[in-house]
Amino acid sequence: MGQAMEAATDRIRILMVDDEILEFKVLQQKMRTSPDYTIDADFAQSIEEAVERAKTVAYEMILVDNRLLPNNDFRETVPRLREIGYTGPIGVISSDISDAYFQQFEEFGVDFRIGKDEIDYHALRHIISEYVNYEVPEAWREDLN
Amino acid sequence: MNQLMEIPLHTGPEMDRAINRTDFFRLFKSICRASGFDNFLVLQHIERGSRFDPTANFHLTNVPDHQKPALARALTEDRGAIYSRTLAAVTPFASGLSFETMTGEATSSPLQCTLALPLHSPDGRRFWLLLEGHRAAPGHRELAELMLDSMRIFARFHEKILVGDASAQLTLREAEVVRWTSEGKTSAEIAIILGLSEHTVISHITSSARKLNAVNRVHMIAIAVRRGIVN
Repeated sequence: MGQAMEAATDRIRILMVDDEILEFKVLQQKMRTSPDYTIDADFAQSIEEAVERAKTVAYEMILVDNRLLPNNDFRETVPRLREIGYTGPIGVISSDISDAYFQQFEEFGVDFRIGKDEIDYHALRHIISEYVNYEVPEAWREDLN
Repeated sequence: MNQLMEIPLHTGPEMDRAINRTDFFRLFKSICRASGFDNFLVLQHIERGSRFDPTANFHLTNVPDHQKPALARALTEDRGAIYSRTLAAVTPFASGLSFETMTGEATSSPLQCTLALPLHSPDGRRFWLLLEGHRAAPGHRELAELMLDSMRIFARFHEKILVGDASAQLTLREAEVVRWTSEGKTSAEIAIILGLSEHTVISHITSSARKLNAVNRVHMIAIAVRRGIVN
């Protein structure tokens, strides 16, 4: 759409955690197709590496593959990122999000879940708009100072 | 290819698993794509003389944020005759204009369509699902299927998202967030304490405040103390 290029000012730093670098390359390619945001995507192959990166870089969002060897699933990995005080949005991506335990994602500090094949620029834009660029209504902002 | 993979998301088990707005975004996007449309918009019905406000009336859409004000203006100005027909109709109808044509970003072409599907909540509120794209208007059979699918998704969307806001009962998590807020903790601090994102904490605060009819955080805590939610 015409105005889309004019809005391409936001730079979003995203950490993608996946033990398959090919998956990262695919997602990185999809992120390039978004005209609304410039996405800087970093990659970590394990949750340990992700934790170390998140300690030094203020990522706007972290996307975690559900199955990260040798961990079982997001119930083991996402709390590790929360333990270090990361309070940005975390999304879990997986080729199959049908297991019953996915219904508990919010209790483990996950903001959203999405299938790998569902990620396209519409989905990315929604996720960024919903979790990164959201505006807190004036009345609910911190009553500080 | 596995046949299961070919089932559109919104007709499979994900329908019954949807919990948050992103889950419903995925479902509405699925119905949109499976039927050959490009964009969707869950729109709250407004009465004659009112204006569409993207924040209040656009409940869920894949239209980019920066294009929402122009689309709201175009709908209010009744381009594509959608607004006037929502006032008169209670059945589905199609307009021969796309969103881009309505907002003046593209010229009209023969193969474009905005389909308006009426939706109703059990409490009598009216909504519309607009499906827009470069395709012809659907025939009767396809229209019936689209209506059925959109009504099923909307029923759950209403139950999980719209009613959730209207319920007076705080969830356990919301009560927990209110208690920490009453201790003087910021959203970021509460997020760290509870192992959540700041976004989730703010959502819980906003939702709790709505349920308690509070106008800001201080008011919310005062009401919570009066009701015994916090000591």
